[in-house]
Amino acid sequence: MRIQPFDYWAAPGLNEALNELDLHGADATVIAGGTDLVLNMKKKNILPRRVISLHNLNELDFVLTDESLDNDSVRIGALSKHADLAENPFLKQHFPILCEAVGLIGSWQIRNVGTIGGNICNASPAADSAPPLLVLDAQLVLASKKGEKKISLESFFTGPGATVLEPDQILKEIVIELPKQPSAGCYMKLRRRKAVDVSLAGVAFQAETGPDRKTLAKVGIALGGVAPTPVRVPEAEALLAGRTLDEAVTKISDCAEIAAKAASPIDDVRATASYRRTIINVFIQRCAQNVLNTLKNSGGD
Amino acid sequence: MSKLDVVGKSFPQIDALEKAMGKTKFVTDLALPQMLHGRVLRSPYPHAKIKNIDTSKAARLAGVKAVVTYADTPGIKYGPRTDDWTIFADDKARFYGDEVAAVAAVDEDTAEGALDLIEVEYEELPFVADPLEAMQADAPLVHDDKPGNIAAEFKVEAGDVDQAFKDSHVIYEDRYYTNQVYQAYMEPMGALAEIDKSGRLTLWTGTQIPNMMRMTYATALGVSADNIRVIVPDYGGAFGAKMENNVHLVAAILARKSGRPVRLINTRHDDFIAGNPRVPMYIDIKLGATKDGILTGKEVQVVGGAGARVVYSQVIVATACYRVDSLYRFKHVRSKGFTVYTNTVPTACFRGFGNSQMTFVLESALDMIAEQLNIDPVDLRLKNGIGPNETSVHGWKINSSGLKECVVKAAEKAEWKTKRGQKKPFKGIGLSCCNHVSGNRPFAREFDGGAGIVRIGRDGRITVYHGESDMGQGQKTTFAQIAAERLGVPLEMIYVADVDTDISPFGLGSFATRGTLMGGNGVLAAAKDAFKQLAETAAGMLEASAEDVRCRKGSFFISGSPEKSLPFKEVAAQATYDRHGAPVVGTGFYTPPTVLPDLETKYGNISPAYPFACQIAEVEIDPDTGQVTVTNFVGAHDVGRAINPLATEGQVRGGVTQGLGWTLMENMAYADGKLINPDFVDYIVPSALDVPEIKPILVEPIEPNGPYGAKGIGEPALNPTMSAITNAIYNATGIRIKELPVSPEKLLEEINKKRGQPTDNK
Repeated sequence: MRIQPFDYWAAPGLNEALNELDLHGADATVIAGGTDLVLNMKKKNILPRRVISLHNLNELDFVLTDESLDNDSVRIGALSKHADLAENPFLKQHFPILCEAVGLIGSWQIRNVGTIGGNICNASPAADSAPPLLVLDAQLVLASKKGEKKISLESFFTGPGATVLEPDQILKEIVIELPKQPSAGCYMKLRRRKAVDVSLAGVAFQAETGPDRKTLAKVGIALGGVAPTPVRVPEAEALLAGRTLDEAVTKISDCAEIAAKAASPIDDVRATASYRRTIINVFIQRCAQNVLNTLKNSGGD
Repeated sequence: MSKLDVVGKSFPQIDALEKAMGKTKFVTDLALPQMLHGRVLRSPYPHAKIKNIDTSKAARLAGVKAVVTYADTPGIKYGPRTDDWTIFADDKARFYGDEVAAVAAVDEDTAEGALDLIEVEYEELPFVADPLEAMQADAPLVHDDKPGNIAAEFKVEAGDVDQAFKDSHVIYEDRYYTNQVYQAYMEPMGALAEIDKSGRLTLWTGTQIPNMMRMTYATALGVSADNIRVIVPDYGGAFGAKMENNVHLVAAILARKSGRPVRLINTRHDDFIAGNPRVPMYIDIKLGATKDGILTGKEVQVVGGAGARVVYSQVIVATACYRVDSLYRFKHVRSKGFTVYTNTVPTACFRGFGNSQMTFVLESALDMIAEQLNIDPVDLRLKNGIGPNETSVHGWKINSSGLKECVVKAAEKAEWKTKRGQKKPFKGIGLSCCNHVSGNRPFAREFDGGAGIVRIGRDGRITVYHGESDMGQGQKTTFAQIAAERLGVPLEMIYVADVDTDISPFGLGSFATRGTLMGGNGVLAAAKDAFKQLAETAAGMLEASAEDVRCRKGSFFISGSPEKSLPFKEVAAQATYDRHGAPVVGTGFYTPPTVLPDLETKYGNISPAYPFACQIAEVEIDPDTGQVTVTNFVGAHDVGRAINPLATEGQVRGGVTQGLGWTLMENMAYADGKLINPDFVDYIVPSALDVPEIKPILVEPIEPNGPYGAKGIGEPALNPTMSAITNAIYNATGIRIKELPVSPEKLLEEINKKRGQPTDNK
């Protein structure tokens, strides 16, 4: 389990990192927190000749709230640590679902060094940050020497461990629009113990009311760990979107059934496919119930 | 007994600060000049003929100093119990992880790189992983000379079991399965091996049995035992696993071939696939009782999986067969045990030693009987539990027994009656008892006691030498407390030496929950001897007779007149001067009043003292996911006397946590004969959040054979935990868990089945 020798270079800043990637991107691997990469290197799943560290890029460790400047959105630097995001007061207020999810990643030690950008770019189907970011319609800003590009997270993943990221690109930041009306979200993951475990199946449920505060204007449902990539389930979302909160409650079990059917889990040492599917159903119901209750209470009646 | 100053008081472990500061040198931290690093090439197949091994490329790699295979060993068959071991696979590899070759190189990277260059030509053979399948007539043979894959059989019978069943009002019968689990100690197994100019081998290794290991390894290496020295530095846990294992001998062979010291520590992966995990068992039980809940007869059959060679599995199966018979007042019992070879990692000792497997089964069966008879499980245990000064069906002499006090106190603390009476859906409370030993007479047939040496030098420095083993459980602290109490000095004055077979007593080691009682009595005898010598010196200095000399808190005085005293150090100095420089050396040993069991009837008395326990678990079950949460836990333990209550409670908490892990999540999972979860990502052990507050209760009936009244605690801390939890699950759901671990998926299936039954009102 020894790591094979490699060249290591710590970029002093973003531009230097992008220059380096422009030159050596195809041979190089980027390291942020390293909590996934180092394990993969130990297991010899990845044998990079060159490792470019983003460790010194403090410029990408931020949570910026550009309510005045930029379309009422929040920007999260890719090098933000899970532990910081889990406790960020602004995120806790607007996107508690994201704080919950990143707060469940690994252990304290992992959350203190692991970054949200790393969690996304590692592209594990079970990444805890992915389902909440999917249901929040997160956009990713990808940077290269040629310039920046903004894409939706949904179009980012292409398979287990695979993304559309080009060898000369790095993920710079994540942009999420602020909800305009009352919103609520809930994330649940199946695990074999109560802390420090990978997600065996994850469910994110996010909803926002319309101006009447009684109708569901937006519903987002995403699953982790039960398909080659984290996925949204539009057919389950459609069943609830546009309905009043009271109507939606009566459709929860149908919605859960649709979502469970949409999942394509596998059998492995961690759980069987059928148990994962069962749990998706249960967790969708619990998340939905929880979110609809919260919205009902915040609706003022 | 007069007031105790040191024994019975809570102290942190004497080496806790060093460990907390990261200063302790564990086996993995040891280094010698010119030392090489070893790595083992292990079989990628569960069963395969080895047709050829080409080590030439590996040997040519820069930095590689030795490559060894079976051909570099003396080729002697050996083993701690059965001569079915070889150092390295001979003509075939018998399990996934079997040692095939090894490399010593200047650093670990080179050694690992060299493994890839060793070319082995295998021919895969059909394999068998399950012990019941291995007993089938057409099963592949693990060892050609072991027909039916039977490694050992065990039988015991007492009374008239058939008549007892006829006289029973109720009979419960079922099959259970306990799985293979890994000890998950912090430091993987390994050794530092050095061979001196004369050819004498020194092994620095974490071992529970330094002396017995030395005997086994002498046979394996074809040398006399005095040509091997074993030193036991601090090491990171064992839980039964750290006895004989080929990894130590591979280090020795590498050191022999390279002529340089070699440190070989298993990677965690290697430790998972080739350690010494728990013996998996199929257990059939038949248990009868009268209308009033008096147990009548018991019959069991145990089939245990030895893996590819016998470590201690046959003794573990034997223990499973009959140790529980001395927990209750059984009169009619019959057991049969089969130890069966399979193509898996050899299995061995793990906290409980077969008794934990059978306790799970018996205590589950007892709750089923209690339900059939509509008797409270507490009352069933109280009616049948063995008491003090009783002799069990197999001749075991129970001196002290706090069993009933454990049951009563645990039930009180857990509010058993209230909680059992106010049943809420999917919440439950369950209990389980256990017995155990403090030493096991037949384990080494020559003797079973313990010995100690107490050396006191001119400066009053007191060094205790013992032959047992401190793997982190606190044996050193216990011995220090016993010596301090007997000598009459504060704890800080005692230093406890690492075990070194050149210096320390020939101790049997730390297993069978024997360390405190056997080693403790040995140290106590040595301290008594040392005190007697010092008392004579002090008598001269105080102008009194030696019988009247006392020492407390580091001062010698004459009984009745403590105002005139002499510091311990002054007396130690005078004693050394009187001896012209020789230190005061006290030696002593303890002869336990045990009786070696008859080979045929097994009638005897295997331990000088028997600890007991009762544990109570409360659970909550998520009916939609099948997940179980243990919400409360009480463990009442008869420990004779707690030498160190803090450490004793720590043992209870640790044992319960380990048992909780076994019950709810731990499992070595195989596919195609290969372990598929050899890491802590997929071999799940409990996190802090999975463990409720564990409330230990120490019951102290003061054991006449124990040092200051103490019995052991290590294994009974875990034995009852599994059935306490599964009995609570039964109380919560009406579902009887017959296979460990409790899989949420299977539990959910059962819950759904029950929900589908309209007649069921649980």
